[in-house]
Amino acid sequence: MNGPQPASRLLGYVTAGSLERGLEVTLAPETPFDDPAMVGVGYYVAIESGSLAYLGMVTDVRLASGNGIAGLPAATASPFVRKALSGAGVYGQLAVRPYVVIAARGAREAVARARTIPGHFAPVRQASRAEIAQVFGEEGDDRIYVGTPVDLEDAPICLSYDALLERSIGVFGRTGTGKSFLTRLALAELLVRGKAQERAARRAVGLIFDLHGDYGWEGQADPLSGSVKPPGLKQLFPQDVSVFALDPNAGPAKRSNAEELHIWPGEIEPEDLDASREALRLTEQAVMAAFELQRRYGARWVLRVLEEAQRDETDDGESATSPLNALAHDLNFQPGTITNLLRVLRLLSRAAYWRAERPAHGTAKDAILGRLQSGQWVIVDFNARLVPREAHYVFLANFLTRRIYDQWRRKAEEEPGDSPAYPPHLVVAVEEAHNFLSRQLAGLTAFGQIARELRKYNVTLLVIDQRPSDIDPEVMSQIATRFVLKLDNERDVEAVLEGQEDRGGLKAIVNRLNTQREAVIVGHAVPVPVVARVRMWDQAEQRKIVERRRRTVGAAGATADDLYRR
Amino acid sequence: MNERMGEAPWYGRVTSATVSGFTAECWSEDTEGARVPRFGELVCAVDGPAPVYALVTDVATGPADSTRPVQLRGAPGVPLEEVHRQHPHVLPLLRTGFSATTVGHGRDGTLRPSLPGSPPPVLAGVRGCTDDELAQVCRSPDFVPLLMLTGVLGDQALAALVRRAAATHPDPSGELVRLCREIGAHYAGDPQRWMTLLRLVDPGGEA
Ligand SMILES: Nc1ncnc2c1ncn2[C@@H]1O[C@H](COP(=O)(O)OP(=O)(O)OP(=O)(O)O)[C@@H](O)[C@H]1O
Ligand SMILES: [Mg+2]
Repeated sequence: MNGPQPASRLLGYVTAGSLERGLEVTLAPETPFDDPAMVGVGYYVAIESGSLAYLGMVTDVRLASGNGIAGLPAATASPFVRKALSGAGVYGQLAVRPYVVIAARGAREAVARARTIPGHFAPVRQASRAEIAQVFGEEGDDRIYVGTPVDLEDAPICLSYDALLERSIGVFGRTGTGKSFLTRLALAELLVRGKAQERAARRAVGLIFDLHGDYGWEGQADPLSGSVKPPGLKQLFPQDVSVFALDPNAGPAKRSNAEELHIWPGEIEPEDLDASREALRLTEQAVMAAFELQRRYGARWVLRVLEEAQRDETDDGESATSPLNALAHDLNFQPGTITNLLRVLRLLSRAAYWRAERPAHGTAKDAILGRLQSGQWVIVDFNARLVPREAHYVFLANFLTRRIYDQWRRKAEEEPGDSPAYPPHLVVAVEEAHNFLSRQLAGLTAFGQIARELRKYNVTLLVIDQRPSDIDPEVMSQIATRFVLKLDNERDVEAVLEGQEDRGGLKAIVNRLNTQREAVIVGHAVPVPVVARVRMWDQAEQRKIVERRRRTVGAAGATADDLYRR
Repeated sequence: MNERMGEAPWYGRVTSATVSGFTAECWSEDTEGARVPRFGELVCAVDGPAPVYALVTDVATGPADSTRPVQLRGAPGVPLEEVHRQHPHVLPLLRTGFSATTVGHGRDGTLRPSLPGSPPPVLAGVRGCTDDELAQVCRSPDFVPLLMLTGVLGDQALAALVRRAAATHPDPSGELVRLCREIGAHYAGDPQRWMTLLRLVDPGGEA
């Protein structure tokens, strides 16, 4: 039943190993292990042993030699002598990790984690397309095609829609590796698959914090290659996506018909400042003062504080009798505390998104919540001149996410899971995630909370980051599916592989990734780690996705509703 | 396997034997259809319960009676034929013989790479082998360990055998490499010796 398949070549035989440390495979003398078409780190191999077939991954390639051979003057020997020696006295070896057992061909469900290892001299072959398909399935309504194994260009790697949403996702890689491309691709596919879901609770809806204007309209072109600008989600799915922009009149935002993103200070709570404390450079004392001020002044405390401060200033300086200073005195705050808080509130109030008056048509926050609830995807476009940019980004993202998450949690707790009013499955995508999920902040921000509690409330976090080592390890451990592109830094590699089986082997593979479009995918959504050439995001692929979206509308009448609800 | 093969030359008759090898004496030079085997040649002792295949690991020539050593004849510079002509009584006193190490035996029409149950009988006829027999012997060279016991002679004879076997194969260079790799496993404990063997086999290394 596991007969050899014509397309895949024999590489060698298992000669030693353990489940814990992996297998040692001695290459057949005919196997050219310096030929990248045959052998390489990260390649899949199939190993037959008895009635089982294993799918494993090559994690190292070695040269070995028998007793004393290395000391012989073989280098100066004739080609014949060297040829005769290779495969007998000197030979190539692979380190192979047997991850899963793929049983009888055709039985897709029968993929199980390997609990034993193949026997001595079990033949090791290149994995075939059929074997890859047994593990990763075929593209379909519930499976998303993300790329191909580096060594097998015609074998699609497909991830399950459900598995992807079940746990948090991370996309990690240094700048220019293709994080945004991969994320765009993943989000587009999630959107399309989500629309095809029958149950409301299974429909994905995305909230995307777009720091660089990558996701709405045309993404940024690669300055080096000058390649074509890829279209954003709003371009591909104009009916399904709303864009809220800090500067709705900036080029791409305008083209995507963006609505204005603003904040009415009446909605700001001290918790919002707390969650963004680091980025805003607020002291703990200042946050405590904010809580105290809210207690005294009520919901509109921010406005009141700013007014008082204004008055103090026009009253010629900080008179000891001003209510703010009196308060500071009463509560034994350090003199700088109020100044610190005021500095931050003024910084926010000077930003273009600040609306001292409650907007007549409701606040952006309410609008975004409404859209998401109705199944619209929302891109929050931060592409605007803000100083300091990071502070505003962190503050706004936290502000929105906290509200949205609260609402989701409430709804999820109130509604039964099969109710049509159950909130859709929220995917919160956030770039430069270490801003929100650093060791100091993860406990405070809504993102940290989502990462820890998401399974209960139908929310998935998608973090995109260049510096995963800055992310709180506890949060990292919740990011169950990881797309790891090339990383610069040893610490980052350690951080993304923390908790994975065979870290040593995977590390060697991550360190050898190409600088673009190559990713190691590990974790929840993949039964075995995979080294993937990321699917090309070009016009042809985009068209396929849009086409699938169109079919969804045609097929299910109910979903046509979603499409034109706005 | 037992039938006499027309094209294979006769080399002599067994004079003493064990299961692991035998010695044989050759017929005199003028005997019709008879020749002296070459070192490293595959031979077969055909008589007895089973034909015994063996590799010639030494060829020796000297006085038939070891108690009567050959005396020096012929002045310096005289050609050998001239010496023989001048001293016709010397040649009949000489014997040529060879010793061979067993590499297999025939049973039920096939050639097995193991030792026979009994040695070939004394005076069993010894003939040369066909290319086909050579190929069969070399299919799985499990006889190598026994050959290795005969030391340098065995190694050199083996090298000659391997070269001859590969030369008659449809893919000579591929077969040469395959055979060497198989044999190499037996030499794993003595890589220096193996390298020497490989150099002997090396078709490019032929002086
Ligand atoms: N899947 C892909 N399809 C096509 N091109 C890609 C793909 N992935 C990466 N690229 C190429 O690599 C370039 C960089 O990709 P991208 O902008 O996604 O990098 P990034 O990791 O988001 O970088 P940064 O951290 O600077 O935002 C792209 O401009 C594109 O040319
Ligand atoms: Mg990017």
